[in-house]
Amino acid sequence: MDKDPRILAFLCNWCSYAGADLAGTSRIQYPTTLRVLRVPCSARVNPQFILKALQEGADGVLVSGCHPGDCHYLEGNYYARRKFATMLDLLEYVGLEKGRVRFSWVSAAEGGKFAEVVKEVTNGVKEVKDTTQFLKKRDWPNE
Amino acid sequence: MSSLTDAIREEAKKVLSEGKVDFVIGYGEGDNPMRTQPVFIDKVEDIDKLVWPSFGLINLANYLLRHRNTPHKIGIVAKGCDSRSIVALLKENQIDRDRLFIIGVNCPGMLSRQVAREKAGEIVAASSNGDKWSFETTEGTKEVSCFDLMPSNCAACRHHGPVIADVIVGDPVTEPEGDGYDDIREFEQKPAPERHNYLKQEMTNCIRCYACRQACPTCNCDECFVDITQPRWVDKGLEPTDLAIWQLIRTYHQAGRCVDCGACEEACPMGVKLLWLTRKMNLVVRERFGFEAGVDPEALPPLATYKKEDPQEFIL
Amino acid sequence: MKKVPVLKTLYDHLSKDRQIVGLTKEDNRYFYRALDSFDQWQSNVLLGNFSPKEVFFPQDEVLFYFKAQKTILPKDEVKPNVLWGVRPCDIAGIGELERMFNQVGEEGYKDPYFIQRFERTLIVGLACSEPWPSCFCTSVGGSPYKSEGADIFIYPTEDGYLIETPSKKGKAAIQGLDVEEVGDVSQLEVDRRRAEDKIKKYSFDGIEDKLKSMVDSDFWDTVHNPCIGCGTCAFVCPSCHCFDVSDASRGSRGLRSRQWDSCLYAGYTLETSGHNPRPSGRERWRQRLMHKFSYFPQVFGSYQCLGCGRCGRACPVNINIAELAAKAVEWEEAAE
Repeated sequence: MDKDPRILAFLCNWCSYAGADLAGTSRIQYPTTLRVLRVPCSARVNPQFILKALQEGADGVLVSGCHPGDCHYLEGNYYARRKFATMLDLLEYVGLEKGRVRFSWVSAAEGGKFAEVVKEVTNGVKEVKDTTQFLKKRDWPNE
Repeated sequence: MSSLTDAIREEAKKVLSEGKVDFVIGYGEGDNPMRTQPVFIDKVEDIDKLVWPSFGLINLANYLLRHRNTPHKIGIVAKGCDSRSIVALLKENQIDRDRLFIIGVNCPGMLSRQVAREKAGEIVAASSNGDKWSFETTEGTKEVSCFDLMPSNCAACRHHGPVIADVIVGDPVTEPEGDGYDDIREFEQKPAPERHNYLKQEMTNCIRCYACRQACPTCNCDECFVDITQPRWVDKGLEPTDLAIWQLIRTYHQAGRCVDCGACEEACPMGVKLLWLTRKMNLVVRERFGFEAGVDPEALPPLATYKKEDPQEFIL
Repeated sequence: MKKVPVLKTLYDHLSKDRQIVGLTKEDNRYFYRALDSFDQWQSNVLLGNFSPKEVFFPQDEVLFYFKAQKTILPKDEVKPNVLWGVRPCDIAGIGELERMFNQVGEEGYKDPYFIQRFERTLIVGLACSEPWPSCFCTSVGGSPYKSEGADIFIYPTEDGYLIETPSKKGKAAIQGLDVEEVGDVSQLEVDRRRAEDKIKKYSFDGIEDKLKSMVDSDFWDTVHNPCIGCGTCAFVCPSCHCFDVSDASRGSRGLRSRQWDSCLYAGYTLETSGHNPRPSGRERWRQRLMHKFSYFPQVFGSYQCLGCGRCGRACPVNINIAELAAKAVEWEEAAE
């Protein structure tokens, strides 16, 4: 990938978003590739969001939530885990490149881990040389 | 299969004449030997309209959906996969068990018109010939064995017999060894670009007629995601990424609910190989969550529950 | 009448300044697509799995693009073409689409997209010497040897092909083609009878008025039962022409397009309020049968069903519209 990839990141409000915030206040350096969408819980993320993001031009997608057992809503991330496992298996089966869509558990105290996750995900997306098969081309005329 | 036809007629006659049901949903004859048209028998005099078809990849449980709010008591002929769909519908509270009289059938497997087209071409007339079929096609007469006319889902079936029934007809079918998913596993061994090209080709043959969705009993949302405008998940039309997303999300919405009946692929006017997608979805749910649709009426749908130890090898 | 020994000469003559569209084979399915060569043409197949209406009325068609308040029409990429080897039923279907999309009179609806494609197409028909068991064109005023509506029409004979040019466009198109003039075409009548006799005959006499008298009949209670509302029949039908319009946009730019719709979809008449005047298959099937055999004849003078048989073949549950229509004609309301 020639330019910096743009990665849409769904971060759960209580853990991952706070963790990202901590990385910021701790002045930890990490790639500036993420475009963050704050959600109340990782379970809020409809797997269709992932495909829509890829259609609209995201080079990669990250969904991050609380560690199992620590969900603010008690069980959300357990359901999310099943959803994402199912969706990812299906997408990789139809040829989605490994590394384009990622998931993580990052707690509010893990500023350091968040930065590492962003580095790892960014590198993974950079390694996927082609544009995603799901990118919707819109050849709309100008006049 | 004349003995199955007779047995079904007998059970249907009994249950109708005893007033246990208002009508029986079953398979009827079509306008040629390769076709079947579902019939809805409400009079004992019409009982001979019921048959056991050869090319019968239609899921009759689909017809229960329109009776969610009617008062009728319904008899239904159910092969193994159809009976699992009934369980899936019961689990999702789409219909009450006490309204149904299920005439279960130990199904030996159905033949597929899509496979017949693959093997013989454009068929103009057909006749059954013992363990093979004779087809008059635009390129001459062709003979294909019944074995070669069986679709991948029937070949892989491990639930020939009904999992739920009030009566069962037909001899029990010996299930073959293994779980039936070896063809999917073999396909998965191919490199990602090869899988991608093949499946993309298939998915983009779609013309958005929605025959697959309509043929499927567990595709039963009042408003399908493709018809929702707020938010607009996919645009209408034949843009390739929209087609892929339509196919993939429909498949995903069937996770833990699809019973591999093959009605979707059989209904598709373009012959899109939908079973490659749905069967992979079933394999995922089986291997990750140990779940198989419609087998255990007490089991919660896999995406409506969780285990603390669910696999998370894919999570950073 | 004119005669050629082989069709390739006609094909080559026409392809000099037009793209030929005819039956191609893709994975054992047959579609009317642009042909690269004469040999690609599937000459022994009667009908494609879909009808040739997509040449004039595509499944997905951009009506216009918009950018803020500016409307931008799609580029004119419609080439002059030949619809090669279409059968009389499909030709009749195209004729009915034309009557629908190019209505006479000042107030008549004129669909510019259809008209443009139609005007640039030369229709070359082909008689059916071997009709299929699913055909029933003779029951709806058609015939396997009917040349009406074509620009050029081909009749296969034992030793070549007779060519008729029902239209001025057709006559002009074959100027310069090396043909033999044939005087005695009496064999044609024999061939026509032979082909017509092969076709299953239904009686639809009086169906137009019979259906009108059956609007509240119990007949409709059961005919719709097997139907799953999949829309395939409308998609494969040569004369079905309903479409839905949708927009797609990003910010202030976007497009408006249309896609095929089917009267049997549950949401076909669903209104914004949530009310649906055709809430079940019962009303929808009544509408479909009446549209094909009563409303359309009333307005346009011919049955909208052309007897091609595609719907019954494609229908996942084998609903045969001819059988339903025949039953309607014979229906006797039960005495109260």
